[in-house]
Amino acid sequence: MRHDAQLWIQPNQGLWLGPAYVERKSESSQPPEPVNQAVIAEIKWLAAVLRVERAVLRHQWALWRSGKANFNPEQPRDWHGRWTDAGGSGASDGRIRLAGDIPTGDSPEIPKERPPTPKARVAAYKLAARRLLQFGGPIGKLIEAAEWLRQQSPLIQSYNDPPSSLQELQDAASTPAAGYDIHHIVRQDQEDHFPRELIYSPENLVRIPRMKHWDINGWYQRENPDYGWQTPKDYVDGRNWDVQRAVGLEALRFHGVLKQ
Amino acid sequence: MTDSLERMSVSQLVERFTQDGLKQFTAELYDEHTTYNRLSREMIAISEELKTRAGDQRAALMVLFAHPNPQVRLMAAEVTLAVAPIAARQTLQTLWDQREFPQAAQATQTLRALERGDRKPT
Repeated sequence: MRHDAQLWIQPNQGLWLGPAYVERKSESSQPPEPVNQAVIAEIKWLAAVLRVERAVLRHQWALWRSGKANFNPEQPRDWHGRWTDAGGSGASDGRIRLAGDIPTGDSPEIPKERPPTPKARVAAYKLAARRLLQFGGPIGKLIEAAEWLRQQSPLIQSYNDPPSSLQELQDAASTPAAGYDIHHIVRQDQEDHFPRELIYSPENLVRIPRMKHWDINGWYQRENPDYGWQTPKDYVDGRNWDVQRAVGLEALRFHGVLKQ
Repeated sequence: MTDSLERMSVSQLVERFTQDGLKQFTAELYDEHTTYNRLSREMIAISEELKTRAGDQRAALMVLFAHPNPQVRLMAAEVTLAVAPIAARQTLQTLWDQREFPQAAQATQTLRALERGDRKPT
């Protein structure tokens, strides 16, 4: 558990006001369907497997960070995540194996040497920042493993910021800082639809970690199941200011930038 | 593509889904959104194909809830909410709890949409 876990919003701490909520007509709630006991047992078992898997991944990362001798992240693991000398458990229980037939992991490592292309460097920054956020620990450990990242430590470190209030993010917008960007809650590319004074007003500007800014820009461009598999960008295009602002604030919350 | 999916076994479809999720993970890292979106559509097609199999075989994707890659877990959970609502939600919740961004962002968005009743998995 992170030392600052209490600062993070939890998805079950009440409802955020979303654009779909703004627009949605009230619908009567339906009673939950009865759940088969066998299904419950299966789910409990899967949850246990998931916990083991997460523990193994954390352990792997700790070993990688500490540079432990003989640690080989490519060593095969069995269905339960345990390392094996062979190629997995053999799926004797008739289930599909996670190690073996089904490809596992394949998450790229942070390169020790500076990648030659900007695109590859950006990917490496993302990997480094996300690992720091997920596993914690001092940024120095990451830099020890990949010295070329030292120059980008403000960029990587800022990704680790806990969520702030809207007022704090807006106040910070007047003070540029390394590793941070000024972000428009209602997107800057909506200038054709709304007056410039609104787009560039202090209420619409927030200072956020640069890589969170990248994440949010990417989120707008990826097809999203909660917008009927259209992109959030397509969803907001042509909608009114309030809907666009609600989506913009949701994006900040979902990415752990804005407190509830 | 649909034709080829029709000829695949359930385990082959699960493997294809997994491969697509791993490619999506890389596409996100490299900001290749067109590739990411094409893979999303293919993964939806796979889940639709599994749905048509006797007894709705989408539950076969539940094995991926324990996959090491967060993108694979995210997409498996997204398309199995109708057949494994509790385990799929738990998988999404774990992505958020473990701060596995950017997948955590999508996971919490879906959890919110389900809580509000804006998302009704079928």
